Amino acid sequence: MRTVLRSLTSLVFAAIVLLAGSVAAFAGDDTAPSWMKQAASQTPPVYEKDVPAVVLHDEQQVTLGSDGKLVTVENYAIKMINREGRNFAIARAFYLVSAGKVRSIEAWLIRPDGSVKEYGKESILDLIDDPDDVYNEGRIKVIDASGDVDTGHVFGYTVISEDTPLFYQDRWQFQGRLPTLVSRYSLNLPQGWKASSITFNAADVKPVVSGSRYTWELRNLPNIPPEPMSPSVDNLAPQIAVNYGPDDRTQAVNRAFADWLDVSRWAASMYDTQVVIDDNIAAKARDLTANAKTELEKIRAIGTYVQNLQYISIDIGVGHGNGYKPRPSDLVLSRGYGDCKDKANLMRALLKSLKIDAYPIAIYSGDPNFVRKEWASPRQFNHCIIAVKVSDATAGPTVMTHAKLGRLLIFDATDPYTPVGDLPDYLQGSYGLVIAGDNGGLALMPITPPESDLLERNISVTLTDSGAVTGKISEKASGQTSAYFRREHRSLSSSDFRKVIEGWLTNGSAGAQLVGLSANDKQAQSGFDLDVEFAAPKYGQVMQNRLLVFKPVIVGRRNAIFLTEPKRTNPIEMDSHAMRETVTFQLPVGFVVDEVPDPVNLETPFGKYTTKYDTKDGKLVFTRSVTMNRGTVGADKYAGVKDFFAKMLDAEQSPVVLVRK
Amino acid sequence: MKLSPPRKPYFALAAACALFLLTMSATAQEWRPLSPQDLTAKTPVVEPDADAEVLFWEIRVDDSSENLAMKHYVRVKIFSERGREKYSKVDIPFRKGIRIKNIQARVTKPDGTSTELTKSDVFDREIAKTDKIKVRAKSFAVPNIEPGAIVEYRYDEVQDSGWAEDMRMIFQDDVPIRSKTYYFKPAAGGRYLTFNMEETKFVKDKNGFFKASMENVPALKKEPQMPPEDEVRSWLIFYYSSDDPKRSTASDFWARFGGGIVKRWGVKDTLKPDKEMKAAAASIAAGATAPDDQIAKIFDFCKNKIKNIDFDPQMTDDQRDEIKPNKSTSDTYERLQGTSGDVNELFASLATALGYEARLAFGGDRSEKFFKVSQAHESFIHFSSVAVKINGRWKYYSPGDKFVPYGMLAWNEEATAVLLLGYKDYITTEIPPSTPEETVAKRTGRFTLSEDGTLTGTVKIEYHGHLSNEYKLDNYKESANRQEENLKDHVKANVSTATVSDISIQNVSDPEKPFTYIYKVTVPNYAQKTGKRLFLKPGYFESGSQPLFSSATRKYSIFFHHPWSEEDDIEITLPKDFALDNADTPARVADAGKISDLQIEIGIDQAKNILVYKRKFLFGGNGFTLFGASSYQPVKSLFDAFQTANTHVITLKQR
Repeated sequence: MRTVLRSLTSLVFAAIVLLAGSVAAFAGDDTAPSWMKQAASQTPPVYEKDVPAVVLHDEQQVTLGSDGKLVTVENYAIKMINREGRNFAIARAFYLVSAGKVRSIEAWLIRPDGSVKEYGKESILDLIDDPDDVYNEGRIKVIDASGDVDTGHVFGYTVISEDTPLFYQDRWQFQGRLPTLVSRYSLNLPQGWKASSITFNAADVKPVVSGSRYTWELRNLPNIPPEPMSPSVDNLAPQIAVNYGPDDRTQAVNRAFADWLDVSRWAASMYDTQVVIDDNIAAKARDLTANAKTELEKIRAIGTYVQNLQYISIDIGVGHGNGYKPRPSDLVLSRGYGDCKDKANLMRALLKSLKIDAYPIAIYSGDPNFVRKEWASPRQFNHCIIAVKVSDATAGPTVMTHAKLGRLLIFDATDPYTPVGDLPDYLQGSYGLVIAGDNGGLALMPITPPESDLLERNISVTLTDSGAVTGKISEKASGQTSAYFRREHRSLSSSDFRKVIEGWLTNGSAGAQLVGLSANDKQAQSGFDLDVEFAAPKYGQVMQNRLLVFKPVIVGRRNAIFLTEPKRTNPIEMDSHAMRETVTFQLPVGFVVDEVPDPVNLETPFGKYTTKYDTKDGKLVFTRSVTMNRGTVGADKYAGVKDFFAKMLDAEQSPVVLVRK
Repeated sequence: MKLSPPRKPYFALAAACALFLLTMSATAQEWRPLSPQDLTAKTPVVEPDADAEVLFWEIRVDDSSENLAMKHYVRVKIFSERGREKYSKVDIPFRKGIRIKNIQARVTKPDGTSTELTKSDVFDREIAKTDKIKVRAKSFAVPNIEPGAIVEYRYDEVQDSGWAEDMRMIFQDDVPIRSKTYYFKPAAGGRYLTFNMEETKFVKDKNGFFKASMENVPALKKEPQMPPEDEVRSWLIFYYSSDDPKRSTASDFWARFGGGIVKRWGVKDTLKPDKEMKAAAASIAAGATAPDDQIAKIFDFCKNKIKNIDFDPQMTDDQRDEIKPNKSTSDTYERLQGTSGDVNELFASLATALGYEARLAFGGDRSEKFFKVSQAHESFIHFSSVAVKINGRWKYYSPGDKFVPYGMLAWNEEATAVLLLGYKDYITTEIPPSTPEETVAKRTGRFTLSEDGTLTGTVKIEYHGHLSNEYKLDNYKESANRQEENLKDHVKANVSTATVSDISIQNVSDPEKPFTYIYKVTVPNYAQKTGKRLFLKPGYFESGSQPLFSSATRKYSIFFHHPWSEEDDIEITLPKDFALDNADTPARVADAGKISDLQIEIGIDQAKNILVYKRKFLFGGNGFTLFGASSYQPVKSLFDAFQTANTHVITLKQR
């Protein structure tokens, strides 16, 4: 978040609006290129009604010149099937200021009556790609025709761009979510160069080779529907990873990689020189660990310091590889901010000054299944964390054993909410590149067990004969569950946090009042405690002055899942977590339990759920327990997953009936 | 050269106006001293849980020369990680013709050590550019920022040939402010209007500047159902005026404003129609004699026979751009096409042509601000509707608002002060609010409940009045599939496990008929089953509703856009082996002021084993849709009571 005048995002939108007003209308006698006319002449199949558009033609022609420049021609045409398709009538061309340019971007619109509108220079908006970075060389040229198109229109564009490739590697995803009729990637290489490919998410796509021109093509790809708890499109859409290079591999050093060890060596050359240990670094490390007695305490002290430094990204010289290179550790310490690799590098320097070895890990943040071990490439990563070499004295769920480096404690120095000893769930189980020169390589990150992400909740409630309740909720969260609560707690002021808790209570009972609130963040122990005192005057409903009906689930699960669609196309991805809850109701004098819901006991490979009711000494004790296991469940098992969550929901809606004696 | 308005060396100092004088400013280049108290402060002064607190924020605006020069100086104390995050990066966007100079920033820790921004820390970025427009920003990261530190930054901004006309000076932000000051040096005479800061005035300061300050300003925060931001934030608007401030009144201003509109818009031509327009009006209204009937006919003509290009979902931007603007109501009539404004002007012409007194209504927009006539600034009003005097009473019409039913205006155009402009004069009055009965949701459900608690059935919902307008506006541009998805989202917001099928959405683009949903729904486990009982919420349409207000406290007024009502008619065929065990009916919930009323009736058709549920609800009676913060507890209690009654549970018992 940034401050002062207006957010840059809103400014970018304002600029787009300005442009929309400034684009001159063109006469209808323009001409579309022949490839687009041909694409537009196709009759697509009939799709499900929620498919907004169909990609008629998606092609990238990449040519590596003898001067080392890579020229890419992108031809793209899309037909709007319904009005939601309008949002896809946008041409975008990304470029890096330091290493590339967009030679031209042109777009056309073919209306159903055959008339054509051409979009020229006047229509181009040139934007920074990431307004949130203080500086970023990435820019994007945009032609937005979404206001001009309607059902049946075909929008297409050609982008010609030029850059100097950092690596002799590329990636082509044959489609996004939309159905695609023709998707083609071709690579023209200099004489004597060769290319190879690896296919993901589909059967092997073999190129057609003509001299040094390689062409990969797929046709008639169905749409990929958006579904809750689905793998990302990256893990569903067919794609190829391409390696190319000259026969003489010595000409491709640091641009082509034989294996992950090769990548590790290259990356180490970017990182190792940036570990600068000066007096300030050494003093800071000593200062931070002055009270630390064990190895783990030292790592924790330094990790906590680094993860609390302000995250700031300044990307300069990305086209020359600087996107993979941290700023020197002494500079990051002196300025007090940095991005993920800056933080990992600073932590490494601080530890090194204490004679603790550590290694950066390149990883992909956001999807643990994104990185594919079959393709040794730095292009698979967008994030950097750290592996700290630890002795046998240091143990925990995020300690892994590396074949060459031994025991490594994995830590994300960028996530301010996950302490040393835990790992963000979006990184767990992902492949990461341990950057350790000859000793490095790809490694699987640890997965913490569900019991590590546990929410324990104890609620004691006194119920009156009018249905009013007063009670206390005591929550103890650990692991990633505590990180979730910590993030929520820290991102809100105390008054706003109070409002969130009030909302949580009132969702369970109208008019509920928050009487007391205490949050205790135990980040170092990966814990977060919450104590709530509350009153709800109309929690239970009195019926005929005889029955008292109430739900034993006082507050909802914050991660409740609803799967309601009758059919499923994509697999279902499950996160791991666990919850144990005990609610003790002190029943009103004169009432006894007449009915309680049947206990539930669901046990499946992906999760377990139980409920239980016990009555004793004027008290009703309700317990429920959830344990979900991390994993992917095939779409063919959707009915079982849906049923599991439906039964959970039903169990949590079921009331208890008391009757007056 | 600067485009100067008529400026005179005087300045109003009436209720919300003040006088500025001309002089020079001084510029300080050194950082101002920090007090030890501020350096070591552990808690904020203005709001106890603030993440950061602006210690002072000064903006020095010099409009006395050809360029508009502004000097900004902000000092902020950071109290938490959130405060650090907020102030860790600074962007100063600017466009062509604006120069940002002399950026300085420093961070001082509680021990007094400082880190200053270096030149290389500042990045000049092109945020967006076209071949004609360029938006840039000076951006920097604040070094070594941490809780406890004080961050200061300042910079100069020069707008070439800029001037301060209609400048908004904002005194309240999303962080609490201990002191915010505008120093202002106008070119000549000028005025200002203050909002939500009535005590603050510009007073004479040094070197020709005037100064307006606010101290201890709390942060602006969002609350549910709050009025528009301009109604709660402290701000003022500055403008130049040639009026004599000692004699000129708001009436004079509006008279001059109205005169300008009359000239620019050709209002005389609109409200003094020619023979052709009279003939057209007579033809359109042929057969109608009663005034309301005649007006209804021309309303229908304007709404349905004139193609309103603002509401044509098939028309693309470029097609709209190619349309030649209408210059008169005759153009609109002849071309049978125009904008919303054109349609309304034509309606005014035709009404006048029939012999009625009609005026163009310029009112406030309640989605932005609540307009008062005493707030004499033209940015607060717009051409909203046409007033026609029928039987001595003004009635308001806006056929240009495609989906607003006859007899109503859009919610943001009603219940506001309004200027009724003729070609000779203007009058001021109030447009009344609509009634709850005009905006009604009529909801019918015919359901069957199975023994396992599954509810299946058919639902029909008709939205009238403002609700119809809102649903049509949300849907008319969308594809049929998107419209269905909107409905599914709407249903699932109430009952998350519902499956919706056989959807029919009617009257989406019809200008008058109610927006209507018809669909089939299945809700597994809608009723909860225990050993021998089923627990059922018979009020299907509100069964999943959540309390509208959850917070125990309130800062701002409570605002509902418009009055509304609901009529629910539900029948549920009960499973044959189950009988009603208990069907207590929730008590009526109403207030003494007749602002709201909720009545629920629950009965049973024993012969058919059908549960009959009828619910009538209204809110906003007598036009009450705005409540002061002091009324929060009663309003909250009322809505809590509605929610409890709406989610009332009945019991069925196995026979």
